[in-house]
Amino acid sequence: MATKGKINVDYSLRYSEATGSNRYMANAQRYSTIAYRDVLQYAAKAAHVPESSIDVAMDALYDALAYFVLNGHNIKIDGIGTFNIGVNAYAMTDEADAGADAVHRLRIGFIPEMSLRQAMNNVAVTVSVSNPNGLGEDMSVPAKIVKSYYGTNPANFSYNQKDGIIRALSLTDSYLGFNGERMSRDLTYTVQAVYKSGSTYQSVNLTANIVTKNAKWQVAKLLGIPEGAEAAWLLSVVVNDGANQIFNMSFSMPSEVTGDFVVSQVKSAQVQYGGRVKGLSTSIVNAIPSTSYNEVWIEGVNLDRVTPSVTGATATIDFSSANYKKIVLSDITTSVVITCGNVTYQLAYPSNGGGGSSSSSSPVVTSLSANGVSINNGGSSTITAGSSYNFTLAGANLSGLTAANIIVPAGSTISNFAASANQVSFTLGNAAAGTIAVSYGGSTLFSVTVTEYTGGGEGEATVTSIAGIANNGSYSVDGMNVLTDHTFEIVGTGLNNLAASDFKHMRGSSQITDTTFSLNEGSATARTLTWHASFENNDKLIVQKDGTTLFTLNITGGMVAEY
Amino acid sequence: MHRNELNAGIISFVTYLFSTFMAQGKINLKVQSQRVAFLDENRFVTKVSRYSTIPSDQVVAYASQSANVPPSAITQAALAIRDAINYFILNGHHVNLGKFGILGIGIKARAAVTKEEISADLVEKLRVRYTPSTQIRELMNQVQLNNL
Repeated sequence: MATKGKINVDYSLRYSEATGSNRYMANAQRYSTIAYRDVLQYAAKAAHVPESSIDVAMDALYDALAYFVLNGHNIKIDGIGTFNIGVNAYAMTDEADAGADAVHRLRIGFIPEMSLRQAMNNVAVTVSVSNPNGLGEDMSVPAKIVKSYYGTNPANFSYNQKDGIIRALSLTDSYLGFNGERMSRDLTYTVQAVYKSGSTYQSVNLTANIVTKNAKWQVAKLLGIPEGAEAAWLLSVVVNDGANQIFNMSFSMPSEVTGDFVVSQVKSAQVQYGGRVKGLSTSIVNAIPSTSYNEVWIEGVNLDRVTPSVTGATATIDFSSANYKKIVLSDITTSVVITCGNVTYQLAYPSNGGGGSSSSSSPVVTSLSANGVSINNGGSSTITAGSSYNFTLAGANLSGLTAANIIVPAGSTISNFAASANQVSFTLGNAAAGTIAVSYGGSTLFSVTVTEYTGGGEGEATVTSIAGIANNGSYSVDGMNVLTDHTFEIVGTGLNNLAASDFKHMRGSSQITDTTFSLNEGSATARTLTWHASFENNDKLIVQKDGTTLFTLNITGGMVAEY
Repeated sequence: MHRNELNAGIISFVTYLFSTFMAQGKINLKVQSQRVAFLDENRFVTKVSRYSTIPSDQVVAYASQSANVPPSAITQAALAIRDAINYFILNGHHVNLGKFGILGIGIKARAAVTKEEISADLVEKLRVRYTPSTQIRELMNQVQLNNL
C-alpha cells in the first residue's frame, strides 16, 4: 500500500535555556494515539489476516525481543525495524570508576525499517505558528555563572571537583571553567595577572581562548604569560555577557611581589556616624555631623599598596588590608578631601550639626552666653553700660565666622575674637544697649536684645537663696579668707531690679566699704554676684533695697578679729 | 469461541508466563577511552558489549517455536502491522503496539528568532520515536550488568 503522509509542524514561542531568550521552537503536531486494538483491526483488514493471529504473532515477537535484546543482542523484525539496547553512563576520568557503577539508565533503541524511513522523505510538511504563553519575541536574559573552576587541564573539571579559582597560575596551561546557565553565549573575559621575570614583577592582561561552550559549560584557556617567566599569579577575572557583568573575582597582590603597582580600583567608601554606615560615591556626598563619629571606610583592591592623602582633617589609618582601609578623622575644621588611588572623596561639613546628606557649610548659632548664663535666639538680657563682657556663641560650623560677622550695639567694641567649629568667643567692650547679632551671607543667624541695666529699678525683688543658702543661713568661708573675688549664685524673682549697691558687707553694725560687689547680668530669677572681699567670722552679707532688708547671709569661718 | 482461537489464547498466556519468568537478562559492559566533545578531551566511556544482530528470520523462528505459531503467520502479521504503522505515523499519529510500546513521529528542526523566519525549510529531518512499554521497562530493571 503506497503511503504518502502529511504532518503539521507547530512553531511555538517558548523560552530557550541554551540561548537565554525566547525562540520559536518546532514540534510535530501530534494527533491521537491509535490504540492497539485499532492497529490490529486496521492491519487485519488491510492484510486479510485475522486479528487474533496478528495478536498472537505480536506476543511471540515480544518474547523474542525480551529474550534477545535484554541479553545484549540486536534484533531485526521485517516490517517493523531493528531493536537494540544501550546504556546512559557518566564519562569518567579514571577507568576504575567506569563500568556498571557509572551506568544510570538502560534504554532500548529502535531503527524503523527502510520502507518507513523512505516514506518519511515523502511526507508533506505544513507549519503553523503559536504563542501559547503570550511571550514577546525580544527578551534576552544574560548568562549566569553558578560555579567557577580552575585547573591546569580541563580533565580536572568534573562534577566532583571542588570549585574555586586558584591564584597561582600554571606557566603553560591554565584553564578557567564556568558552570551555569546559558553558557553557550559569547562571553568576554578580562583577566589580569602578574608574573615574575628574573627579579622584577610585571602585570599583564591575559587572553582567554574559549575551548568549550555549551548550555551548561564554558571553558577558556588563559594565554599571555611570556616565556621565561618564573611564576605567575591571577589578580582579577571579570566575565561579561554583552553589557552585563556576570562574574567578578579579584585577589590581593602576592606578598612577595614588590614594586610600584597602580591601585586597580577603589570601589566605595563609607562614612560611619551615629552608628550607621552610609555609602558614598566618588562625588561630594554626606557630611560628618560631629567629631565623635568620623570613620571612613574605603573598599577596593590592592589598597595595601596605597596611602590615602587627606586634607581638612588629621587622619589616622586605623586598619589596612588589601581590600579595606579605615581612616579615622580628627581635628576636622573644613571640608575633608580624601584621595585614594584613582578616586577622590570629598566630605562636606554639616550645615546643621545633625547629619543627613546636606553638603552646605553654613554656620548655625544656638545660644549666646556669659558667666554661665545662656540666652537663646530672640532672647533678651541686661548689661551694665560701659562694662566688658566675655561672650560665647555656641553652635556648629562656626569656624568660618570672623569678628566682622558679629554685630554689636553702636559704640561697643569686639576684641579677643576666636572661632572654632562649635564655639566662638569674643570680648564685648564698652557695652551698650542694642542688639547683639550674628550675620552670615546676608542673613541674620542669631539675634538677642540687650538693655542697659540702671540698677535700683522700680520693681520689687525677692531673693530666695545665695550660694544655695536660704535667707538667714550660714555660709562657711573656710579657706576663703583672703581678699579676692568670690562668686555667688543668686536665685529669686525680680532680680533685674537689683543693683550692686543693694548688697552690703556688714561687720557688726559697720559696713565694710573696701569690699566691692559686681552684679552680673542674668535674668530676673538668676544672677551672679561677684564679691571682692576678705571675711572675718560673723560677717554678714545683706541685700537691702529701698531700706528693706531682703536677704541676710551669715559668714562663718573667716579670720578671727584681733581687736 | 473457536477452538483455534482458544488454543492460540492458551499458548499466548503460557508464552507470557514463560517470558515473564525467564527474561532476567544480562548485559555485558565494556569501557573504552573516547573523546568527549564538549570537554575536548578523552574520558572513559561505558558501552554495551553487543553481539550480532539477530536477523528477522531467526527472530521469527524463535517466536514461532516459543508460541507454537507458524512462521508464516508471524511474518504475515508483521507485514500487516507495518502497513498500519506507516499509515498512522506518516499522518501524525502515535501507534500503540501493545507490549512493544508506542511508535510516533518526531522532527529535527532549527528554531526561529522571529515569526517571519518560520517555514518548512527549517525542518531538517523526520524520525520515528520509540517509547518502550511498561512491561519492557520492568524487564529492563531486572537486567544484570556485568563488567567485562
